[in-house]
Amino acid sequence: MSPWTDSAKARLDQYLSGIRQSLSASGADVNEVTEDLRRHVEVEIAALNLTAVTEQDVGRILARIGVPEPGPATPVTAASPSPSLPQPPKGGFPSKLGAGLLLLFGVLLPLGTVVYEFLSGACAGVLFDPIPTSGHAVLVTLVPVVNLAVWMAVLHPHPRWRTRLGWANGFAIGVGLVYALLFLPATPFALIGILVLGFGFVPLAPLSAFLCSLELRRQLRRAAGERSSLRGLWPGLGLGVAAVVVLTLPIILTQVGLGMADSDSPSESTRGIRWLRTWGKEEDLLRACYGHTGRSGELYPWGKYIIPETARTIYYRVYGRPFNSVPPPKLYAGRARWVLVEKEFTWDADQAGDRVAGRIRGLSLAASRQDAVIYPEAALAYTEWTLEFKNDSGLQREARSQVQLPPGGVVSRLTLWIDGEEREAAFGGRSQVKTAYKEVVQRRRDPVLVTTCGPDRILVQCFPVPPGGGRMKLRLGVVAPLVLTSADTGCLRSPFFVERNFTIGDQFQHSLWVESSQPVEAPAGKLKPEPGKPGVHALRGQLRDADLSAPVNTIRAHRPADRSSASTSGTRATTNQIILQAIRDKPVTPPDRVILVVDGTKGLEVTYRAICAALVRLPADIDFALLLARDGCEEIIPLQKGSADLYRRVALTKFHSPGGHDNVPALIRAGELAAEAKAPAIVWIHGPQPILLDSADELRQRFDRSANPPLLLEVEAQPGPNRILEKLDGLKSVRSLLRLGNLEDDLSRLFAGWTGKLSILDYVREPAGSAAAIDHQEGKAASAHLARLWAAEEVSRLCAARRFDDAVRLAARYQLVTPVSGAVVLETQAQYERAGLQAAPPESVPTVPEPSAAHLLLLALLVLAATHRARRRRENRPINPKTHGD
Amino acid sequence: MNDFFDNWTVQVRKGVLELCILTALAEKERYGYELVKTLVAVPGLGVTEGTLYPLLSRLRVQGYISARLEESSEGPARKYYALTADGTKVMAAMNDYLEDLNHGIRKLQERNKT
Repeated sequence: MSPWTDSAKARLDQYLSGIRQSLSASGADVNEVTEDLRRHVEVEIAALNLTAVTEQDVGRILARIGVPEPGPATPVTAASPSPSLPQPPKGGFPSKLGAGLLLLFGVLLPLGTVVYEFLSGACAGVLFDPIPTSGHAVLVTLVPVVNLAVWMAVLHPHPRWRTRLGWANGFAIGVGLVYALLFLPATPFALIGILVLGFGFVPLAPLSAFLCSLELRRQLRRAAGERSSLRGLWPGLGLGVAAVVVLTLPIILTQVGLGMADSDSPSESTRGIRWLRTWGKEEDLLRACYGHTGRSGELYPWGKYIIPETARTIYYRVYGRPFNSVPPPKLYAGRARWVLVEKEFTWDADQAGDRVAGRIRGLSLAASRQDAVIYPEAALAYTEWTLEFKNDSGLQREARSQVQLPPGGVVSRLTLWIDGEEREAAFGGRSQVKTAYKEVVQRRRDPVLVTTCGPDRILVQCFPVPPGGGRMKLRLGVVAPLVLTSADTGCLRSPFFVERNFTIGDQFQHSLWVESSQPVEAPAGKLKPEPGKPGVHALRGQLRDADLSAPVNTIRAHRPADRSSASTSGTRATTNQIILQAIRDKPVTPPDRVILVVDGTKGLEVTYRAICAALVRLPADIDFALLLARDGCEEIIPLQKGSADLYRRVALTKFHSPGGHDNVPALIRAGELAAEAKAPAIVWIHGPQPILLDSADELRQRFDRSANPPLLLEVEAQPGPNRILEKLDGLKSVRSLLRLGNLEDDLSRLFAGWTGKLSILDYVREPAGSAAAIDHQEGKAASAHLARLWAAEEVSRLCAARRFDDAVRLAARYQLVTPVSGAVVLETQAQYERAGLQAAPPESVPTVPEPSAAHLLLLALLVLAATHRARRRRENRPINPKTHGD
Repeated sequence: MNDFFDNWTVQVRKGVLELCILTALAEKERYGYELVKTLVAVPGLGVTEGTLYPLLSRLRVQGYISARLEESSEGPARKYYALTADGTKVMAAMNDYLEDLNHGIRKLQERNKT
């Protein structure tokens, strides 16, 4: 440290003593300040690194430091702010009543309303859902929370928070304003409710919160001092309104798109569909499909009301799949005790109708079991499908489904369990059984109805599945020919659901049992061989619903290749009739013109590669055209001579199409192109067609009236409902390609069959003459199912000849569900009599396995013998001496 | 006009000096010499060391800042100053006030323009 001269020390002491007087009035600690200043000078001196500190050195430093300016005369009290700082204003409301009212209507009522609505969904159940998303819930909760913060800030004002609260209050005013406007129509009713009934505060809560926010802002400004301004009103308000709008934007955009899509102008409608594909919210569209949107139920209630039928069409066009292929949306947000209200509003408008329609919440498939018996000699199979539905909702529900039958299959048995007893169906004319069903449904009794709805498709309806976990059980019996891939192998597909209004759980499995007297196998390995009775080969397994409809799970059944004929006397004819079935090698007549129609619906793109790969198997010397059903009909390859090079050049994979498309225009165009050929074939590869966007009358007329209608071979690439096929039901020229494996293999098999070098095995069934009767007696008798298959064909022939009455009579006699007949189970005999129907006698219905006449005779003899023996034993029993001793 | 303006700036400087001290300490604890040199270097503040030490003392007495001595190997003991909780509060209030004042003045100016 440098030494100080005496004069330097004296200079510093003089300076410090000189300032003491002025410092004493400043409120500072005089000693502390002088010490600080002394220390400061020492640091400065040390920094100068002097050899000796002179008076001049100290003088220079002190000159720079200067003399302290006199400070304000402030009384020195601990932590008391300087008078130059703003004094915190005095807080509090002008009156305690006002403060209490603001707390009640600005905080407690809105907060209570939010909690109540969140728990009960009361408003959501009857008006609209004010908190459709968690974002909305946060927004509306913020309003009373901000009001509370402002209320407290008025009581205990602190300048530090004023600006932030100003903004927050502006935000709350913005949110409150939007909700107050939304509830404005309900305000008069709420006031009446409060005056008359004493309740109705809930619809008033948004308005009261909004008004209280305004008043609280005024109070906050007052508490801050009249001179003070409070910032953040308009920007905060704007932000609040914007936040509500942003969160509601998806709903608004969907409503706008729906309005455009429902336009009468095709161009506007197409624009609406495109809009919805980009901006639409699927859940809101689904809600519209179930009839709850637009008019009410949404935070944005100004949208155009779209009827459910139109919304379903729009949904398909937007997403390319049926609305009922996905779980139903959450309809209204009713919760707690308001759930009942919600269920009332999910009323099933399609009950007893002709459509499967929307999914019903709470209705599910509880059990499913299929038992199939294959008759390899007769090359047919009989499958019994036992279904049990469960209803967890609070209302009686109707279970409806479309079922795909095996190719050529026909329903020959329908059983319903009523009070634990099996009741057999009555078979009658289609309209007759439908009328009977509708009448009984109206009376809320126990009917089940089965009718056809397209080639190899049936509609199954049963009502009522009792509420509260009640169950309903029914059984379908289906007889179907095996599809012969060779003389010694036949294929059988299981029936499966293509459309349903009930839920099948992800983990749900169908139990399957298949047996035959010859070996059977399931190449996909889902069904395993099971030891059966002696001489019986069996497969058993459990399949998920998606697996049940998968072509790869087709069952292969071996059969004796030398058995090309079979016969049965089990007919329902009044005369001693025998039906003979012959399996014949039928040369394939190759088409001279093939029009390939490919569905352009979204989701089908995955099949384009398989289609292109299979095309190379098409014969080269035929006319060929490729049409894509996308926004009408696009001729991808115009009609021209086919060649291997042309088929190789088909590049469907470059086409991508969003949404669902109407296939009718492309099929009509295909019909036009096919008309000029001698043996034309239209191959229609498609996915589900849940909506008929255009009328199919023109299409049906073309196939129905033409003297030489083209073969329409439909190839289902993905299972699902098909309204176009429903319209073509009963037309002989419309056939389905049996799907046995992946699409490429199945199409390749079809196209390879058109080379002209192959033949297919075909069935010919007819009432037999005397020679056949001899064969029959020689032991070639087959199951009575054979007669049912003949009868089903005969019904088609009679329909084609427009002999509908004869067709209905024949179908009823053989207990078959055909395009002109149906099956219905009613609860009482009186209901059957009223409907002019007769339930099938239990002994006349087929069973698994079908008892042959010999079996029945043997069973009767055994029963007789047992009865006779029991009687004899009773007669020969010794008399008990204890009872008869006297 | 110059005298008037000079007087006015002196008043303004006096008004914000305490806020500047509190703000300088808001970031971190500083020792007296460093703090004083920092504030002296603020342009426009026009303050001398002699003025700052009494102010620091007064703020400490009022409880808005705290002080502690720590021995230093480089020279005399250092006196470290730090903001107290009350100091933080009053600083925020002063900032809000100043902001409001600015906002009000700006609004007046905008009104004059229109």
